[in-house]
Amino acid sequence: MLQSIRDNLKGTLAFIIIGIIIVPLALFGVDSLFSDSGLGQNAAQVNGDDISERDLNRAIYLQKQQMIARFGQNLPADFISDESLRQPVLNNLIERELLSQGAANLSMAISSSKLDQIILASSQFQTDGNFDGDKFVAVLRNMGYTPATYKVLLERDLINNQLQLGLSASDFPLANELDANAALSLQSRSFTFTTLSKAKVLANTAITAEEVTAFYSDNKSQFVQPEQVAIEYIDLTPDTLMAKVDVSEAEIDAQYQKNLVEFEASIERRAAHILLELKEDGSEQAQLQVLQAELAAGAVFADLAKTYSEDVGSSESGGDLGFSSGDTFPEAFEVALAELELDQISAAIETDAGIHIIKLLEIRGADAPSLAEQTPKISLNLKRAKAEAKFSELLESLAEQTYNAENLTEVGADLDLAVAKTELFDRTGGKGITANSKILAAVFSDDVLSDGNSSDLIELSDQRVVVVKLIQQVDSHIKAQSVVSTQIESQLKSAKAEQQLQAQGAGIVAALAAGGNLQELAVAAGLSVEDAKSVLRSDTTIDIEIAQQAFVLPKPKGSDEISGFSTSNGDFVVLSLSKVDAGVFSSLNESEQQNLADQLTLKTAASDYQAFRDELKQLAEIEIR
Amino acid sequence: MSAHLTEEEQLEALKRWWKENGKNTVAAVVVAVVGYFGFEFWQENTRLAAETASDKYQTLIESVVVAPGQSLSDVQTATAVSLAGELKSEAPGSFYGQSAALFMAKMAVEAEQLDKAEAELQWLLAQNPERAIELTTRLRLSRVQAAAEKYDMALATLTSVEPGSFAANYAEVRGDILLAQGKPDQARAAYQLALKLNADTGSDQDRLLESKVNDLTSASTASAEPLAAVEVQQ
Repeated sequence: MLQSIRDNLKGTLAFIIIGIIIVPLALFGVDSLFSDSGLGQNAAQVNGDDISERDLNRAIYLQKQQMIARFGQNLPADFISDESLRQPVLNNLIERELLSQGAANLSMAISSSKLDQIILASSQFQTDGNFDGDKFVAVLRNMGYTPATYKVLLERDLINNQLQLGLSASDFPLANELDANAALSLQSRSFTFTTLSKAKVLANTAITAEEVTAFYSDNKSQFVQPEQVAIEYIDLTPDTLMAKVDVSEAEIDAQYQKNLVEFEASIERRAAHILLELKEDGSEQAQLQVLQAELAAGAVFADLAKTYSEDVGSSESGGDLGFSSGDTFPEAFEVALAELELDQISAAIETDAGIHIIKLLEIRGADAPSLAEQTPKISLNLKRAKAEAKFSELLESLAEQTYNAENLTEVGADLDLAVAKTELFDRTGGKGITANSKILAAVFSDDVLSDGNSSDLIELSDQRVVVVKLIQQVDSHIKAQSVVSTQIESQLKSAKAEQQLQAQGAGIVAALAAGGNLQELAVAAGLSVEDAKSVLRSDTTIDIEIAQQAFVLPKPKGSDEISGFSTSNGDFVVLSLSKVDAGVFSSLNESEQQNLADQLTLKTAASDYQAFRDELKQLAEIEIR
Repeated sequence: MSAHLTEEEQLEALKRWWKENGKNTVAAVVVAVVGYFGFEFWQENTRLAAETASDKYQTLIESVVVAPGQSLSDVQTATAVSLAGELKSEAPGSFYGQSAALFMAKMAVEAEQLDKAEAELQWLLAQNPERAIELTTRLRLSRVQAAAEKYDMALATLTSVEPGSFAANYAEVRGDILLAQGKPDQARAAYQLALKLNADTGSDQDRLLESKVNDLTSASTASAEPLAAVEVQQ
């Protein structure tokens, strides 16, 4: 076979093929033949550019960290699960990729000196106000970037900023637009209205028992009670077991003694020394004698250290070496130190470094707390440890015993655990433990609901396990009339009252249209009329529903514009709009004018920029895997 | 070709082949290498030009963007105008040059020179910008033309392009122009179209746009196309 390959490798075609392979190999290396496009999964493709699964996971991770930092650990787990974050984060990445591609098409770039400037000035990479290279690398590594990939990312963000600012900040308001805007937004309307109160009518509305019965039999489907169940359950946590474990005094004492041992190990001594280095001619011995004579004469140790000590690191500070927990200095040194009383000075000690004279300056952590002081803490810790052990132990026996149990009460009695019962609840859940979605899923599983078994151990957290069993089941049914008659009665009453109000209101509207006077009509009906003069859109003194209705009515031509409408609380309002006045921009003071202009520009710019981004998206080929 | 050529014969064949094709091969390799480095050089140059424009643009933005409620001093304006002018002539094909024209237009509007603003925006359109930029620019151009009461031109500016994602924005501005022309019914229809397009894309509620529609509601249009009168549950 090799021979035939060799044979065929002659001639022009072979040269060309080999040339094609050689040239890129020589110029770009082996990489060019095996680009990484085949490696790793891609989450999406935007106009041919990939967003890798790795980038997506990193972005999800960062988003999660941010949410936790902002809202704390109490966020519901569903909220920050990878599944629920994936889509929005991917959308963000796609949007960002689109903007970068847009920017690339627009010949945008940021110089690397500018990037460096920004990195140097960024406070997250600084220690004490100065750029810290180690911190920079550490922070990046934490986020999963190298300096190079981070710069690419930073450049992209800056370009996106330039793009957004360039489009938004260059928008402008025009004088005619400001006038038109003020005419509308500062428009005022004058109107009168009267409210027909539902509450009043309700008080005088009666419903007969026959009406209730008739409604019940005609609308039975409205009164379906979905399937309900009640359960008994055992809720097991180490906390509830704490009350059931005992700790003897002997155990506490034993633990205390144990603590004492550890405690002694934590004694720290602060030493000072004077060091005399060993000389070849043995002259250090003469110096030692001088030194010891001076000490005997009552000279201050620290002063002598400054004068004589040849340990340059400590002599200036009076020989102070700081604290040692027994393993900082050479053994001979430590032994001598441990034998010293406070402020006592040792005899000459020889180590590899030379001759030391040591003074014990301070002992810390020497006094052990008393048993009485420690008892509550030790007792609590022991109890918790025992409760946790018992918890683990019980997990197994609980699973075993509940598996085939007739009921949980017996299991509870057997294991000395409390068994609780719930009231009836349906699939949407009830109060307390039955509001938990894991519990609901278990309760309404076939195993528990149809087969009547105990559930498996439901892990609500590492430290909390629940077992449930059905004790009562009420099938879906139509509620008895007696149960719902009050509800029906009030429903019918409400409908009847609203009907009556609408009829009355329509009468007033008709009379007004025929040329009547609202004031007179209202008085005749025992109602009062309210007068709203030059009301602005932003007015809050008038009921918002009434004001809104006044502002959607057509402008009155010749005669008042009349409207009758029900509000959300069932009242009926008759409104007569008499006048509409346009707002005038030039009547505003300077700062009001400026505010209005800024508002309008912000709004236009935001909506145009959104359209700009949508357009990029529209034109793009986006493929999500 | 025989499979049993001796080494010398092979060498001979190679020499012959080289004689025939040597020049072409060398030429091809030279062209490829020169092409590659030429491309690299060109790319590097393009990038350098973009970076230079970017730095200048950054200075422009910093001088021209002020806090809301403040306006540019004369010195700031002069600086901005000269920077923007340089960007326009040095980088007309890039966002930097084009956005400079947008800022020039803004400054012209603030100085109440609508003709100048219009000229800046026309210049940008003449650079054959990316579609999304073109759509943004046309919208602004149309508004400037409307402000100068060149209503027909303003409408033509809007209709000469397929508005794509800008459809709602275009419809609203068209409504503004039609209203200014004294055609309230057509204006209302345009506003309603804008509202509908906004609702289709799930944009936020736009109260100003809603009030533009409501304000043009007459007894006849009200019965024909009632707009949700009372929003009961907020």
